[in-house]
Amino acid sequence: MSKIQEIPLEESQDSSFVASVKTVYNRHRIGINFCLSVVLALLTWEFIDFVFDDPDFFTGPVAVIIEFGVLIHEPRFWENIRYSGTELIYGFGLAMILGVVIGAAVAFSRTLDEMFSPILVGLYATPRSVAAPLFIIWLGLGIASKVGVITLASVFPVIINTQAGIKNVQGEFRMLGRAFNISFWSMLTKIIVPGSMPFLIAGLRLGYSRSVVTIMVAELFGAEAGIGYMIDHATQTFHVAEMMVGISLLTIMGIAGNEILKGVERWATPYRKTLV
Amino acid sequence: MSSSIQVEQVHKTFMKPTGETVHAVGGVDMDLRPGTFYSFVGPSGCGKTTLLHMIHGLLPTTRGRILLDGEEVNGPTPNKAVVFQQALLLPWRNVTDNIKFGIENDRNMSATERLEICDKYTQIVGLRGFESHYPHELSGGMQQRVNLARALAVNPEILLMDEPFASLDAQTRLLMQEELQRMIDWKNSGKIVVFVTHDIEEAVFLSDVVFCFSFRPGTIMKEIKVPFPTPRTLRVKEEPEFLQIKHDIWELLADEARKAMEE
Ligand SMILES: Nc1ncnc2c1ncn2[C@@H]1O[C@H](COP(=O)(O)OP(=O)(O)OP(=O)(O)O)[C@@H](O)[C@H]1O
Ligand SMILES: [Mg+2]
Repeated sequence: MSKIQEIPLEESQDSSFVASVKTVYNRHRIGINFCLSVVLALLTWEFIDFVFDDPDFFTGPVAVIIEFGVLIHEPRFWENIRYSGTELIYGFGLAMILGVVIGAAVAFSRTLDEMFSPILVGLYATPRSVAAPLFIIWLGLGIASKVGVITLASVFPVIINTQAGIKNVQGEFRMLGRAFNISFWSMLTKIIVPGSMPFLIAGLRLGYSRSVVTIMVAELFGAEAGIGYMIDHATQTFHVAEMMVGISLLTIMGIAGNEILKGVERWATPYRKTLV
Repeated sequence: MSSSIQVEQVHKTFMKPTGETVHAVGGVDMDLRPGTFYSFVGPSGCGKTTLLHMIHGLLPTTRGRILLDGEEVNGPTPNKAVVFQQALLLPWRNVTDNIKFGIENDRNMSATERLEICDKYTQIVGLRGFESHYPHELSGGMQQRVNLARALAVNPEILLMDEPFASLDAQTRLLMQEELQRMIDWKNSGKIVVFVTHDIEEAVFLSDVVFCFSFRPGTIMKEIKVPFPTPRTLRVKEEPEFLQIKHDIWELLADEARKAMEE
């Protein structure tokens, strides 16, 4: 009689402490990794400052936090944040709406696609630093020109991804819908919207990053206020610490918005293995 | 109410974007009667799926016509349901909601009724305990069973199945063959069942009539009636007459398969 040899699984030799650290790490992996990356970035930043050792050219995070503590007492500082925040909300909001509408239109109509896609691709390739002065001429120095530049910069990833998402469900899944006689409305809500959701959110994330980056460009060519304006002003007067505060603020806006959109993605597409 | 289907001199030619054409179905005539189980067997690529989709109304015919109760088919209708060759499950729906997909449109059905039906077919295809799993969390065979349950849940007069058991293991497959007969009960309900398979034994075991297709462009080489009363038990597979029919079909298709391979 042959006896089937049981192969023992490799028992982990970890002490219970290491094992419990591992469990905690696995459970909160995303959060812990995020914190680690922030800490690492700050340490690198402080280290570069240490090497440079010249506050007129570079400041580390400690100096920036101190500067931040000074600035929060100035009303102009809050005015700048409010100004850029408004630009971002309107600019990206508009890009979101226009992007989805135009993306859906070119996805559903081949004629529209053939007519407008070359133009859209051309506009996508236009440098933002060219668009910004033009918008100022058209819309003035106020907030409208900044919103215009930001919308222009971030609308294309939304259009392209919306179109790709809808195209993605138009073949087989549409056939499935047809086979089971679902109505046009059901086709939209049960197939097209959920099916293109992952693409749409990817487009929004790309668009949002471009929005934040574009704040700087939009305010560079003349503005009344704003974080970009503040950075530009600080640069010209050699206030390196203030400049760094501005850059940090933009970075935080970028990260925060991206994290929110990642949250939306997890909420809207729970069936997907998160690829983040 | 029971329906009948006439397929009259139906051809299908596909035109690829490159301008190349494929003559997939080459003049098929069929008369499908209520209360009958039909199988399509034939070499790979001979147009079985194409014909099935034309019967459902998902594809237009290039020539010829298909009549359902005397009226030309020009699109899917709620009295037909299809089991696709690829599972085609919605990735954002779990097992229960995928099975529910076909009966959601039925306004005459209450939510509880729908759930009861889903539950019944989940049980039948052996997916108890997997109700809340998403397609990517299922094996290929399990996905295929959801695909089957989705069509069965509609309880259609005309049930079109494209290799529904292709990715099942041999044992499950045999059990499902027996189960399917009990489930559909086409003789009493007057349904028409069309079942595409590559398994000749399966075709003979389940069918009242087996259509043997030639190589592309697919035409019907032979229509074989299987005389055993239904529902059948697996024991029928050992009867000499069963083996003879199986052997005949095998001979007939072997030449066509050779042609397909040589092309
Ligand atoms: N949309 C299409 N465009 C072009 N050619 C197609 C299309 N659909 C099917 N064909 C061609 O038509 C022929 C028949 O295809 P079909 O899927 O009906 O075969 P089948 O008998 O179901 O084969 P299998 O048993 O392998 O599933 C094949 O040669 C295939 O390449
Ligand atoms: Mg096929």
